[in-house]
Amino acid sequence: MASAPENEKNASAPEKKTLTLKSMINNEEFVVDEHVALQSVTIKNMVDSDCAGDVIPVPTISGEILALVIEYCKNHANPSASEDDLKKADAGIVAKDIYTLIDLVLAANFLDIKGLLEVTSQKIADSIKDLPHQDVREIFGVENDYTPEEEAAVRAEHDWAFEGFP
Amino acid sequence: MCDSTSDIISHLPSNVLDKILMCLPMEETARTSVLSRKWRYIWAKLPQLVFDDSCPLLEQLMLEEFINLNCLEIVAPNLRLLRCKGLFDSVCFKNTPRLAEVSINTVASTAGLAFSKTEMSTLGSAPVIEFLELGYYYVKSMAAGGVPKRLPITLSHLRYLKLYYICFGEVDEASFVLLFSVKLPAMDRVLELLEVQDWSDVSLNKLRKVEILKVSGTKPEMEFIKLLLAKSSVLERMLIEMNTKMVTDKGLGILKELITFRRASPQADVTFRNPNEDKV
Repeated sequence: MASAPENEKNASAPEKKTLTLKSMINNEEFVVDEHVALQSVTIKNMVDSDCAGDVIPVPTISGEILALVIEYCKNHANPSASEDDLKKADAGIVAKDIYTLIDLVLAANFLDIKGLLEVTSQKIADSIKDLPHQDVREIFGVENDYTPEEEAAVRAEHDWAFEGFP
Repeated sequence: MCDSTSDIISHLPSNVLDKILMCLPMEETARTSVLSRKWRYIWAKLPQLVFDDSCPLLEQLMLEEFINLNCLEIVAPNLRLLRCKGLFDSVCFKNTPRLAEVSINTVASTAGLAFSKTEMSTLGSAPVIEFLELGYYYVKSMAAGGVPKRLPITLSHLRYLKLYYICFGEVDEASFVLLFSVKLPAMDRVLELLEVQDWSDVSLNKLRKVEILKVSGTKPEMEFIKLLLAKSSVLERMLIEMNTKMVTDKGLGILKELITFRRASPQADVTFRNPNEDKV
């Protein structure tokens, strides 16, 4: 399996165009190759319509999350990466706690990166799969505002979905 | 975010929340209804319901007043009954070999409805259909998608048919006529189109019951009724209800004409109903 070195140098290529993405949460800046950043449809639209300056401000996304997003885009912009490599790399990116995953899914949605939105959504879904709803409440921080009677009624209405659950 | 609760997921934009929940099998999403009041109906509004291997036994599915579904794709090997009523763009049947009863009623009033030719042909995945009920907009949209030369379904199991508020004004729609009443001033055109359809091998050999409402006695309508009577060998009952405004002028004429139609089913009971009188 070919694993590309971290800083791949391509001698024959002319100077690569880069974009600077700046997190507006903590002012962290990231210089990325344009073709990497253009996997974000939002950024692509900005560039295509000449709305992008030297530095593209990214609101509501922290530097930590932006770094993950860029990592994802880099992996997927690498033409020599096999499907297997990408799967493994994606799994690494989403191996995070639920709070990070929520931030990541929001970032993927805002930046409009379909693949990242999908893997992150799947990971969040997996985190509650097969769990009793009491655990799901805890994971998602949901406050139960049903009265016990109401809850029992809602549950009875969906009893077919609760087979095998306490 | 400046929210008092720590509910981290129900503040997601609805498209993102939908996306997450759609990664789960349906019973899993249904269980979220007990999380809290806010979660009560989230799962029910998902744009996609997945009846996967976990519900191979699903026999009846009724969807009432649902909205925001673009395409309803039915994959349910044991489904016998499907009723859906709401606002949606299309229904496709992918794997429904046992589906016998279908009732589709979209309330869409926009022109955005568009059906592809393949739409109708997917009904071919429902080869044993016995009961078919199609609403106005559904038929209209289906016809707008183009008219197949031949019907994709033989309807050889059809026993009960209900169609209502069908009013064809366009050539395409008119030519989609299979079992609908026809109202079109340019009657010659419809007759021509009726002939385009290859009626000779239409098999309606299980059709037992037909109701045609709001008949105004136009020639295409009468031709259509004539055709149904001539092709349905086991027809038991046909109800023809007049358009309220036309009864006085045309009622008798229609009756006279009806009597002359040849019937493939000798025991067919043809009821002519005047909506202004007491209903039988």
